[in-house]
Amino acid sequence: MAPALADEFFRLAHHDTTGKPLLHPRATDLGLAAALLGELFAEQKIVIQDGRLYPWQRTPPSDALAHATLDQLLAQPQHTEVRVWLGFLSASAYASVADRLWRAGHVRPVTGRRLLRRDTVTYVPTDLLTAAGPWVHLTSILRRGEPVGWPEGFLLCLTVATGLDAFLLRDLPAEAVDRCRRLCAAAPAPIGELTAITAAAVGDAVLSYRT
Amino acid sequence: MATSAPAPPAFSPVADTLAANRLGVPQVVFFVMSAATPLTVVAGVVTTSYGATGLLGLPIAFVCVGLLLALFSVGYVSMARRVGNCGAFYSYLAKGLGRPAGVAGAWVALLAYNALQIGLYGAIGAAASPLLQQWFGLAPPWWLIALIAWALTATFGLLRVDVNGALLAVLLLTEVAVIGVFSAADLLHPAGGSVSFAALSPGNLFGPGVGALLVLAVLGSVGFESAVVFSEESKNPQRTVPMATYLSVGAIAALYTFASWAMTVAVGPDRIVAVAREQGTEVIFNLASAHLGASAATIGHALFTTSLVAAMIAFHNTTSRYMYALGREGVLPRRWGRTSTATGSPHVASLTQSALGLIVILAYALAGWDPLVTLFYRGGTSGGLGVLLLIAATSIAVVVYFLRHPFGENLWRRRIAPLAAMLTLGVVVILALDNVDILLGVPADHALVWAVPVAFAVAAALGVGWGLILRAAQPQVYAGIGLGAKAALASMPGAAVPSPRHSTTSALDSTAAQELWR
Repeated sequence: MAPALADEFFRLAHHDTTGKPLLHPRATDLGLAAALLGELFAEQKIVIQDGRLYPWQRTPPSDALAHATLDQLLAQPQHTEVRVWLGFLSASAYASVADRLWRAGHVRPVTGRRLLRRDTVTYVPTDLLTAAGPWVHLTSILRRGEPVGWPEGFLLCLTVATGLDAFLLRDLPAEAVDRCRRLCAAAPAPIGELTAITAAAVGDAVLSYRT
Repeated sequence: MATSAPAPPAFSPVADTLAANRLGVPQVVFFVMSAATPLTVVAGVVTTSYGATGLLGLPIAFVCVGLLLALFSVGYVSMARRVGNCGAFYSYLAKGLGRPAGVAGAWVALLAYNALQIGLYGAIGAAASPLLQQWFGLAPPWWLIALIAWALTATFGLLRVDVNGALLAVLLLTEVAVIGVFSAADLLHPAGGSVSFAALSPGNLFGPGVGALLVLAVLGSVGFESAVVFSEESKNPQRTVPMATYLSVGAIAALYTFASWAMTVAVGPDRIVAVAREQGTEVIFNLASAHLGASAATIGHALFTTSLVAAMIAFHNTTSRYMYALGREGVLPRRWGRTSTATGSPHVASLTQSALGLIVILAYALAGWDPLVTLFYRGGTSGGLGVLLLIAATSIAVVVYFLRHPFGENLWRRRIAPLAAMLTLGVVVILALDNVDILLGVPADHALVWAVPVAFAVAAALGVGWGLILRAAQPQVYAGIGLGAKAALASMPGAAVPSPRHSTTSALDSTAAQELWR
């Protein structure tokens, strides 16, 4: 079975050996929330249209976290706006995805202590190859100029939406960078929609930032 | 026949989670007020205004502007819910008067907010010098202090170390307390033995220079517009944000009216102008020192300094968020819409603003111009004039918008109040443009008298031009004007935002998509 989308985004958003986050927390949270919705979409549990999401198949997904997420969606049909769900899921996405990776043995939590700061938990990857996997996969697709589909296309658009592309595209030739931009601009409706809403939420988080 | 009872509110973790972090009225008022940094206005703006304009009517001008802004806010907060980037005036212009007008507003706003922010560097020297002298016996040149404050602001902006909300709240409360105590002491020691109400007489508003006074009062109130930024994060956008806006406008007007009036009472209405010209920002501290002892003045000085730094950071963040929003829209180069991956600060925008500040500080230092009058006062008043122009244009946009979309608001909120605000603001703008010389404190034949309004006019004209170019050349970007970060949604099919006039999905695009997507 292909690795879950949110796991892949988690790996993309963290350093492959140290496990240090590459993005600021809010962008990571929103990206993970979008990836969790992407997992449900991929399994045809939900449809996304006009900024709203609707349950499609009610049969539970095989993955426990996806199952729990779908249950949340089904239990609260009064909320359909993707934006609202991103906001809700982003509150817990980091912990749940990190937990899923830990249960599968992909990361181990390391508590770091810093003076005058709250203790921070870093999830250090246990295997470099797996951790760097999505990175290698996406960059090589861009380098080769192959057409993309699900899930690579979605992950690429999501990295652009969250600002991770600053890292992903850093060492790529201009041609590949340009390809990535065009590809995201031409993304098919549900992918384009979900990632555009994510990008707007990430941007709004900066505009209404407060301490 | 059984009528169905209203369903009990469904258990909803979504609503609960999102509400847990939500802001109520007090929090929003605090955010707004702490960005308004009252001591900067009372010690800095009010004193220099008396000196530069030579007019007594500032206290009554604060009352009038408070009422006017409250009237303006009726339509403003009603429209806020329908605007993408609701904290920024240009979004209202884009929505009400068309996207080219929105770009014009954005350009004017960038100019005005930069003038306000950079102007503050001119006052920090005057604020910190007495303390440095008293504590360390140091007398550094103003620009050295300004450069230190600049470095602090630039670093904070870049690292996104927004001054902690709790710290800002403590600073705000102390500032208000100090202003209250100082002003009360002023009232207890009136010049000539009796409390004079001369500065509060409405008659002051019928003399020459009233336009200048009104701009100065607007300048003091800048920041009231930002409550709407928290619309999406407030407990009840229908109530929280309007309440917070009215309360902020009221509190700001009441505090400044009281403080500026008390100053005239203690010094004497006939002498305030001469004393302000002679003592500058020291007026209120000298009064406090005489009435309450030297340590009161020291506390005041310390708070004035922190207040200025807080104001610098607040305006720096406002300005860089403006640039960031424009970068997200593609109106400025996209680069300005990027955030630092590590800190999440809009670092390109922040660096740009800091670079402008550095250039101006160095230019003033090298030219040897007076920082307090030429930089702080003129920068602040020019910026204040720009903000007044923006508010007036926004009031027109609100009226036009509700003419086209007369739904969901009552007659008072969509028609009467906006119309009244628009007409009154129109009069204020005419008065202000007539009094630019008094406002800036320069002779009527000074180049600045026409240069400042012309600068705003040029910025607006260039903005309209750029908007029209975007319409022709980049319809995708054009569609996103005024939406801020939500511009990302402008290209979405069937999105809740207006789609561009030209269809973006042509046959050409779909073949391109086929080559990119399988």
